[in-house]
Amino acid sequence: MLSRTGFYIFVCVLGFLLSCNTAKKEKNETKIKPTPKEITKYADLVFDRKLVKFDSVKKGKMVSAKYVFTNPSTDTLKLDYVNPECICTSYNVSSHVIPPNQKGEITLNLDTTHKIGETKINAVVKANTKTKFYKIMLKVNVID
Amino acid sequence: MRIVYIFICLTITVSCNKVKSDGNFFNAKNLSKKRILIDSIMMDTLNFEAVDSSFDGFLRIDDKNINFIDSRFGWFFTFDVNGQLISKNLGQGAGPKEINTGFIDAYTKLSNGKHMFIGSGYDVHIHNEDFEREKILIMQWDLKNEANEITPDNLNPEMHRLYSPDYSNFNLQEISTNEIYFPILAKHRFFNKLNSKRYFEESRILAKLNLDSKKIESLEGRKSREYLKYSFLSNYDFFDYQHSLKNEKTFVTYEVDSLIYVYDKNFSNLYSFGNSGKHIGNTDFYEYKGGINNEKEFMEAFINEKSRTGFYKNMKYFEDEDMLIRTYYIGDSRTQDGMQVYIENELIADVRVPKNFKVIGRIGDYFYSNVVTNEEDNYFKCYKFKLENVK
Repeated sequence: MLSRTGFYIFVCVLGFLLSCNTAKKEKNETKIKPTPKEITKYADLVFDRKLVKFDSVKKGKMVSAKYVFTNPSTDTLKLDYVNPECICTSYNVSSHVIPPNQKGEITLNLDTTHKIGETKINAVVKANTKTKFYKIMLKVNVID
Repeated sequence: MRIVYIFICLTITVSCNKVKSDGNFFNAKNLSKKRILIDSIMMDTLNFEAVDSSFDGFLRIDDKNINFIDSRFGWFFTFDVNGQLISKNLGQGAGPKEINTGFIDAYTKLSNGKHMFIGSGYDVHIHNEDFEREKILIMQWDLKNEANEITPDNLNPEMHRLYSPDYSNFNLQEISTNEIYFPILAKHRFFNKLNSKRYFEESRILAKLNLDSKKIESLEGRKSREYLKYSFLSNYDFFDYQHSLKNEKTFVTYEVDSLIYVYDKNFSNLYSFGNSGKHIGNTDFYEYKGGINNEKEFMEAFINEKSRTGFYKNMKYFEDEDMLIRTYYIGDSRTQDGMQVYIENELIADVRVPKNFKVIGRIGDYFYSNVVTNEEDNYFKCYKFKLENVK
């Protein structure tokens, strides 16, 4: 038979060993690496600037803003779409497919015929990147 | 004697008819009370962790987290009370855990835990608690009449064709497990805020959507009778509302009316309450005279004249405490607005807050404001405050 003190020591040692095992187990779990199938590869897209500002422009003039971007990744960048929020704005894309470390260019063309005052146009760009969506903006003050 | 009797009967009949013509929308008792307990509040700023967002969106509070709904990209960001990102869900797309709409205009979390979104094409998206798509429906309006068939003679304010959602305040409120209110606005050429007196008298303000039948079941409410004291308060045609599922009450506030009107589930006026904003300033509202085709004058009045006046804005109701917080615009102030706190219809605080401030919810002791975004510097924040003397 164990004495009372012996019993307490036994419980403490057991508890200590068990907690060590748990910690070890958690540590081991973090070491599990995903199989290659689980790794999703993404291209990347970095804009030189997302906002282009113009000073005052006379109503009725066309305003064009260029947005240069780079694909700094090792995968091919694909632009799914460019979606300006207003039918007053059209766009051009240099290419929808950008190889690694290459540059591309998007141009937004705003028709100011029906605009007046401070005007802001957004366009959403969707690409095969982890971020997925990007917003590019054009700001201009349209005067009479 | 007979003549006197006839006269009395006639008077009663006429007065009864008068009440009936106004409906039961504004006639109930005014229960306003005032006992100021708080003179000022301390405002803290909560900065959110940087995320890849369009910065077009709005905050919603649930029990313990703060959610930013990115309207343009479709992301649903969840932050803890310290502004740290917990999760990022949805995103635009057709996948089972994505949202298939171009722009999220409105959102509410339903009492069954599901997420409800509305896009810009009357498209309603229901996702379960794990953000998996459950259903998409297109809300069905009763569009028997073409817009060009509606004339001043056959115009009926209940015609669905006259209305569309009020996108400037697309506030969804659940009124039962399958019914939702949202604000509406009429823009028909014979029934609008620019040239129609009848619009201010009879226009409905809320639509009731049934999520099972997909139909707009009814159009409810009226504009405040304060509008009828002017010719056209076209630049002050904003209202806000809240519905309490627990108490089955709907609260409505209008820009030009200091009273808050409370309705039962049949939209019958139960009572009203409310005090004029202490700091509201000039309330000489600008009357628009430009007519339907003078957009330039309307916009100039909106920008230059309206900002000189004070008017009431948004509300948030907390049903457990019967607490209602209303914000108001202070005329001629570029930096500050006002905020009133009512408990059980009694005004207990009327303080200054930052411009465009709006209370969106509460977590623990803190009340949180709407989002303040800066898309050029890629950050967003909100304000939070406590009401110290209120239990």
